Formats: sequence, structure tokens, C-alpha cells
Amino acid sequence: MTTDDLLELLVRAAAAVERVVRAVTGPDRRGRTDRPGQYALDLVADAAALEVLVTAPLAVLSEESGWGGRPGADLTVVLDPVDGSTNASRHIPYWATSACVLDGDGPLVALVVNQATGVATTAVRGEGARRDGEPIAPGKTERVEDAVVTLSGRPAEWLPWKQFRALGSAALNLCDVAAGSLDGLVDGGAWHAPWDYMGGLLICREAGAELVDAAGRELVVLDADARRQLLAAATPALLEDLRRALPAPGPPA
Amino acid sequence: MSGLGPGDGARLAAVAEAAARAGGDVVARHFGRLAAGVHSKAPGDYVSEVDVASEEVIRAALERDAPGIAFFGEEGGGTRGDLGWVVDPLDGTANFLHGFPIVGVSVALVEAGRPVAGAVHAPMLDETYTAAAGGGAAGPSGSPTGRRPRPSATPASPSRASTASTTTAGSSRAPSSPWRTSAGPAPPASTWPGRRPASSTASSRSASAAGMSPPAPCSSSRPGAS
Repeated sequence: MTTDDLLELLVRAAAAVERVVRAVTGPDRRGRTDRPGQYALDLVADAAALEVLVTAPLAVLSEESGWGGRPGADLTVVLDPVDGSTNASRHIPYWATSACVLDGDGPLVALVVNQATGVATTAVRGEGARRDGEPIAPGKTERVEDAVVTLSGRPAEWLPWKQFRALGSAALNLCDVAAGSLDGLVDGGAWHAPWDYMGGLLICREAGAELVDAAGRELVVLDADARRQLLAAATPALLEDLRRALPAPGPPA
Repeated sequence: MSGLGPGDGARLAAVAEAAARAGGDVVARHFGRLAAGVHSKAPGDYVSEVDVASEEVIRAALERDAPGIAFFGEEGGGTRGDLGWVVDPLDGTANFLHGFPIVGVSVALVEAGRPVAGAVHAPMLDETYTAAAGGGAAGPSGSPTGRRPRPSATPASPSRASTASTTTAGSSRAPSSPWRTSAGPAPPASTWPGRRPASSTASSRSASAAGMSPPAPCSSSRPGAS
């Protein structure tokens, strides 16, 4: 499959998610499952996305259903059908479908769609990142004092950011850093899984934004149990400045 | 004009909504242009210009639909009588400047210090909330399904806002993607979203997926969100 084919596949999967989630209304919108943190709409979305993805020769790693698709395939899709489920359940217009295809060299094609607004951010390895078809680039902010930063959880240290947000979708946060809407992202702990950030990771790399795990661990892992503490920034200087929000280094755990 | 009668609240809430939507059209037209580099002015100057332009069309709409009521705007000031409009033509300037769609236009009618009718319109989300004192509040049903259908857009348009309708109050200015058509199939790959041809020899800045790290212990639960 070409990268165009892969991107079209991801677009179709995301469109399927939007259609089925749109139909979940009223009290059902906030319906939960037995799994902590999971909403019924997550499962509806997962089923819709998988129905599309399994038509292609891909392995799938989904937040909601784990490994699926074709085991051992050369290509793997890392999928979060609904990133920002709480926002989706409450009609807060900041939730996404995030999907990233990886080959033996890592992330290859990514799509993150804000399903509330329809804004799609994409990247193809070596070809840059785009938002609704237009090339994107991060901002130039180098100091915390000049930065609009989004937080996930409470950072260890409160910095004098120009402004802060708590928006509730890591996938969209990373896209917004890549596109210059946000200057940085600080996680309060290691709670993001590969499906949360893999699409945004390729988009950040291709746009030229910085993204690391706060503890320096590899981010490109096909491991459902991996959890990472994300730190993202528009520039290398801001990334270093944002490290002040992390706990002081201590002895190895 | 003073002393509102029965039914005036609902009528004036509708007037406020039409005015807020007119202001929202101005905001939507300029949304995203700064981040896209379309505009060369300093951010502060640019947002002030949008503020003033939005306020002007709101003032004109109110004067047209409910003549003779005092007007007080955030930008231009004005007079404050026993009965008057109080307007914020662009609420959320930081979001506006950074390209976040959470921005609003607020139009309220205040009588003797108490709000009696009003509307808040979010132009980039195409959501409007209205209320009249004693008459309840109305919103977009708390559900995107209550919104009007999204328009299709030209894939390579430099700005969604620039292609939005600027005249029809009922038109949808909600952002859209070309593939987001109502229950229809996705368009062919060639039409979305302005991609360059695939390169089989694309250079990679990616870390090797082969060097998988061992599973990290999940040291803390996620903060309530998924």
C-alpha cells in the first residue's frame, strides 16, 4: 500500500468513527463500561474503526480492543478511536480520532482528526505535516514566560507560563503544538500510552516541533502497557525551559 | 425606550442573537489568518481591528432591529442608560490569536442593572445560546447533532473562514473537512487533503521501531480522562 492508500484508509476509519459517535446522544453519550475510564462510545467508535481497518493487511493496536487485525503484518496501525472521551461525552469540542501506521522504520503515516470541528491534521514521514491540507509549522517561542502551555494533570512545579490550558486530548495537544496554536505540553505523570501520542508524534516530528518522554524513554514502542510522560515544545529552547516543571531528579527508582 | 412589556424579552433575545451572529461572521472571516501568516500586523493590532469591526456590525444590527436602545461595547464604549445593550464583540482573544476555535460574541440587554435578554454565539463552532429573563435559556441542544450540516470546503483553501458565507445568518460556519460529508463515502484520495505524491524513498527522522523498549511499569493511573 502506498502512503496515499494508507492515509485514505485512516480517513475512512475516522469518518466511520464520527458517524457512529454522532448517533450516540442523550444520556447514552455519558454511558460507561465496566472498565475504568472507558465510555460506551469508545467501544462503538472502536468497532466502527476496526471494520474499516481490517479490510487492509495491517496489524492493529487499539486502546479499546488491544491487538487485532493481521498479526505479523509488515504494517501496524496504532489507534485511539476517541482521544478525549470525557470531552466527547460532554460535547466539549476537543476530542479526536488518532491513528498512526508504523513500518519497520517507525511511524509512517498519521491522521488526527478533531471530530467535533472536522479539522484534520496529517503527516507522512519525510513529507511534512498538514492541517486540512495546508503545511503547518510550530511557533518560535523560547521562554516559558512567553508560552501558552497545555497541561495534563498537575505538573510538579508551577511555572510562570504566559497562559495555560487543560484541554483533555493529548493527540490534539500535540497537533496544536505542531501547528503553532500551543507552544508546549506538560504531563504531570507517565500516563499516556502509544495510541494517545503516536499520531501526534509523527505530526510533531514532521512539522519540526519537539516531543520527548520526560524520563528519556523511547516513545516509539508497540507496547499496550507502555506509559510515557510527554513533554512537547515549539522549540528546543522552550523544551529545556519546560523541564523546570518536572520533579527534581532523584535517585533511580 | 424603557419598561419592557410581556413578550419583549423573547423578541429582544432574537434581536441579540441576530446581532451576535453578524459579529460572529466578522470573527469567523478573520479566524486563523494570523496564524497562517495571511496578515502582517502585530497580533495586538490585528485582534483590535477584528474587535472593532465585529462591534460595528453588532451595533448596526441592533440599531436596525431595535432602534433607540443605548449601546455600550467593550471596544468603543458608548452610553449606559436604564436600558442598554452591553456587548463583547470578541470574547477569547488569546484563543482567537492562537487559532483555537473557542471564541464567542456576547450581546446582552441590561435594564436597571439586570440582564433581561441576551445571546452568546460561538462562530467557529456554530453554536448559539440565548436567554430572556423569566423565559428560560436555549442552546444548541447540547449536541452537535443539533447543528446544521457542515458545508463542504475546497481542500486547498488557504483559510476555511475565508470561504465561509458572510451574509446568511443561518449558514454554518463550523469548520469542515472535505471528507466530512453527511454519511457519504470518503472522496478519492486525489481530492484529499492536498497531499503530495508518496515517496518510496522518504528519508526518516523516526526512531527505529525495531528497538522496542521493554514495557514500562504503569506507575500511576491516568488523570481521570481517556
